[in-house]
Amino acid sequence: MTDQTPKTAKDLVREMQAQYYEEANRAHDEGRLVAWVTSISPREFLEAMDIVTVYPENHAAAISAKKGSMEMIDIAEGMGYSADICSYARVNLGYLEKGDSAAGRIPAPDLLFCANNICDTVTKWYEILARRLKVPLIMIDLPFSFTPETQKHHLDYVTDQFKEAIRQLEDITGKPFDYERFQESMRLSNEAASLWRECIEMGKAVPCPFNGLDFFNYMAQIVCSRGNEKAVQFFRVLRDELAAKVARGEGFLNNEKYRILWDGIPFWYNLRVMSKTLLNNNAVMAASTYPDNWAVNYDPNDLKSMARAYMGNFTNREFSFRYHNMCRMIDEYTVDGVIMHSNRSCKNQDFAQYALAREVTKATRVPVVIVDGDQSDPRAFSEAQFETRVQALFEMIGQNRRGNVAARR
Amino acid sequence: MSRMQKLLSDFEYIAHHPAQMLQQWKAATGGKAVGIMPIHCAEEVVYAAGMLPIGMWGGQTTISRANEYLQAFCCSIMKAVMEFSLSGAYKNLDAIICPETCDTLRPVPLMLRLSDPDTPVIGLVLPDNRKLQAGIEFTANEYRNIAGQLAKITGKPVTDEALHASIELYNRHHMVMMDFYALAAEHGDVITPYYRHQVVKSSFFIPKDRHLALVEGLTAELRKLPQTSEKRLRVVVTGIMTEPDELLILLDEFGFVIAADDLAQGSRQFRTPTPADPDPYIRLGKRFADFEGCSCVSDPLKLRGKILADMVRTRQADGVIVLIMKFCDPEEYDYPYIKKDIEDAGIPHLYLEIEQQMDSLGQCRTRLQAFAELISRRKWLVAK
Amino acid sequence: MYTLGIDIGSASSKVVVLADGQQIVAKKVIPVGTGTSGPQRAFECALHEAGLTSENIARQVVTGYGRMTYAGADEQISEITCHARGVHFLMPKARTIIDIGGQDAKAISIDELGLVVNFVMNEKCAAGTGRFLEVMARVLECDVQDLEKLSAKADQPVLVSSTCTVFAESEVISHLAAGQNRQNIAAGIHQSVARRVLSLARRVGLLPEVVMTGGVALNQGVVLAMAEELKMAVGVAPFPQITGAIGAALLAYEKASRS
Repeated sequence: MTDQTPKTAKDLVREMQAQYYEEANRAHDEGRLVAWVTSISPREFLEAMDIVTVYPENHAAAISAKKGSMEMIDIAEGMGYSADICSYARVNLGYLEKGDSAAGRIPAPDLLFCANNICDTVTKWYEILARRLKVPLIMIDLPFSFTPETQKHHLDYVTDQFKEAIRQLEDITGKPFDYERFQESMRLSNEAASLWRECIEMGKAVPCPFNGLDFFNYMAQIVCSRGNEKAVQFFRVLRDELAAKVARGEGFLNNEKYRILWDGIPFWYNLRVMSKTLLNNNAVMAASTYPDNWAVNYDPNDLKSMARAYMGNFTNREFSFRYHNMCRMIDEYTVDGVIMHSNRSCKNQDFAQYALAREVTKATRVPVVIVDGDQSDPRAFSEAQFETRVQALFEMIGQNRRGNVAARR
Repeated sequence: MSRMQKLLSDFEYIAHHPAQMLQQWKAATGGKAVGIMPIHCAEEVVYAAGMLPIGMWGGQTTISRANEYLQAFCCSIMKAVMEFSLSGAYKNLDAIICPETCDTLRPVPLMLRLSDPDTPVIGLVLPDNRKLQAGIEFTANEYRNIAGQLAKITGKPVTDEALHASIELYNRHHMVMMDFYALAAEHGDVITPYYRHQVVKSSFFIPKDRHLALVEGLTAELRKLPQTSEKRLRVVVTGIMTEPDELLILLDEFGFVIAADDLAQGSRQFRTPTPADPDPYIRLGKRFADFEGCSCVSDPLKLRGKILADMVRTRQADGVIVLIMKFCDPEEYDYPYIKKDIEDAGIPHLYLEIEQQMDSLGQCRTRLQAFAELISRRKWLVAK
Repeated sequence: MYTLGIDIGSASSKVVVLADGQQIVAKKVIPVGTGTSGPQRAFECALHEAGLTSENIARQVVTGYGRMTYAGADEQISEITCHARGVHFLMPKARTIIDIGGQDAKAISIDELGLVVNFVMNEKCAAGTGRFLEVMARVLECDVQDLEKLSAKADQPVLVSSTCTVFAESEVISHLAAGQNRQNIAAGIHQSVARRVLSLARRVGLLPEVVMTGGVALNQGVVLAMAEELKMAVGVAPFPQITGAIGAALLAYEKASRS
């Protein structure tokens, strides 16, 4: 008799990530092409051509989580790469020389697919990869918007680039672009993105049914596999799990004292201290600005709609968007306090944080604390500093409550 | 004072007094001024609108209030811009154009709006896929957008004729600047690194037609003089800029002459002519498509290293000084591969990390001295 | 012909007197540097040891941090060029020099003629310099000279990962509090210095033979950690503290013998 116990999302995601890497490493043996891809790029184009997408950012995060990032960073810095540049790039460039890592290997790319809606750094990084590996680079330039509305000529430029990308893919593969597969990939991508958004929004429930840190694990699926059936199924499982908990009024914590919004990428090399500090204080990460980037929804029949969606993630938007977005999240998710990660690797995000923290607190009365660190370079992080500052946040919240400031519940 | 000395003194004065230049111009013309953030922005559009483009390249100031907005690892140029903004130094500007040069320039300009909500900040995004027809049109449209925004401020539309004329003027100016560079390389005792920089820097603070006339005056004087660079160590400098002034004085002290530069605040502004086209905005799009070799512009073939090696060859330089502006990501990403291209060509180079505001140049001094010794010992041994 | 080289650092003053550009007839190290009586005392002691007066010196070259303010020399030359010259004289097969001083660290690549090909320096950050070791020795409650003996007895070096000296100090204190033994911590400290310096040194390329100079080269623990990290043999120049002064004296001789 087979075991009928359904797998939890947590079990599933572990399995699926392992399968994902196995499949990627088999790709060349199976005669499939491999592309290295940036994290919020329109991978639907590649999926249409049966190209396996591999994410150096995800790989760098995994290497960090396995405490292997310093080895790679040392190699990259020895080559002359400054410690100032993004640590994902340094880990990846170091990995390229070493050929192996604490998180295993990824297959060498046959092409590179770079979308700069996350930052300008990826353009520099991928150009270096193209030179080093001598493979074609498809550049999807998703212009940054200085205005709240997306301008028409921006959309035109992007849709033209989509057409150019199709031409480049036909050139590289020697095959005509598979529009049917493309449609299917877009449909599934949208479905996954909608489900992802539903899951994220379960965090609005009080008590919060999940530990927001888990979303940094689940994220791998929306990043790497958005557009295929298995990912959609996974997000259905997750959504149903969470919906059931919300229906039961079940929270991740028995005694939810503080609801936190986390802004930025986590410290991949030390998720333990993030988890421990929150848990010890009965704090739950109910909301985070990061996962929302992948709730990429658009009309699959309209390339312009797709362009707009891929240009619209918050790292590609100006200050007022981030400000309104954060205020909205604080309200909708009943947030008590905000922790902003001043991530040494991410200047795009960081240089608005000081002003953002002040403006957000002014508008919402919710305290904000900024912690120094880095996404995958452990040298920039101090556990003692993190714990002290987060402690101070909880004390500020407690103070506000006693003084009845922003009394929320 | 000779005519040459007078000209150099004028350039020096203009370069050190941008606020005064702006004030004088406004008083004389009643016109409006637009601040231009670094690095690439076609000032021609501003000029065609009848406004004065003024470069905002940071400067010498003590960073204090800017720390309320920017973490320590922000480049010194942007910190200075923020500091100036907070202290009201930019209040005489009627608008600011901010290109999306790098990740730092994504959030910083919007900090300027918080600091001074009355001065409109107009964003400019230049494409990565700049050589595609779609990219050229995108660039053209970005400048059309700017022209439209400027028209709102002046109350007058920017005509195509005015823009064509502006482009022709700038093309002439840029040719004269490249001519000046070539002459400066052979007159190292007169056009020391310090004065060379003053000529360049002053171009950002006065109208281009006036600057062009001054530079033509200078090159005419230079052509009368015998060459004076034989005893100097010829270098190509590459990076964002050669500031502060003390750095330039050190370069002179150790006997360097700048044979050519690949600086953002230098030849990257002047070395690419704007080609012809009936549509003046398309002309700007085409120029951006033709331009090569800047760390802040897409370079998928990584041509910058070869461009540098070629510069060394054509100007018979002895070495390259790579001036890495601290916390400048685009330059930092480029360094390892330009290092490789330079080394493969057998050219010695110096890696020198600088900040726009530097309290003590002792460390620069040692490195520059060691590099000067390195080059001259090789030169001497080769001669032997 | 006698020539003299004087290397004035931030923490020490070193003088060498050379006969005919070949033989060291006197050497002196005084453990105080620029702005003190160190340079003058080193100068006088070295002359005394050689049995000479300053009139016997044909040419004098000064190098090091304090070279700009020293009055007595005929010429000042950077410590990069001087170290390169000095090490080449002592060890002609050296191609990469790693110099770790009290407050700075540098790596120099030289060619077969002893000419500098490239160099990198760090003077901003205490990590990877003698200062780092001083701070750590204080935490371990021993003298800097004892660190070498401690780490020789380690069986499992403790990882000290912070590259900032201040953070590393906290880290070491935590290790002690957690019951780690001082021998293993000392070994971890040496590894940390090695990693930090090598990260700098790799940028000039690490061609053999790799040679260490500077005061910290006297610490065998660091030398061994470097060799292990590099997976390459790492030599130590004879008289590692005075290689700059030797180079200065040689460069003085080169010029003096030409005129």
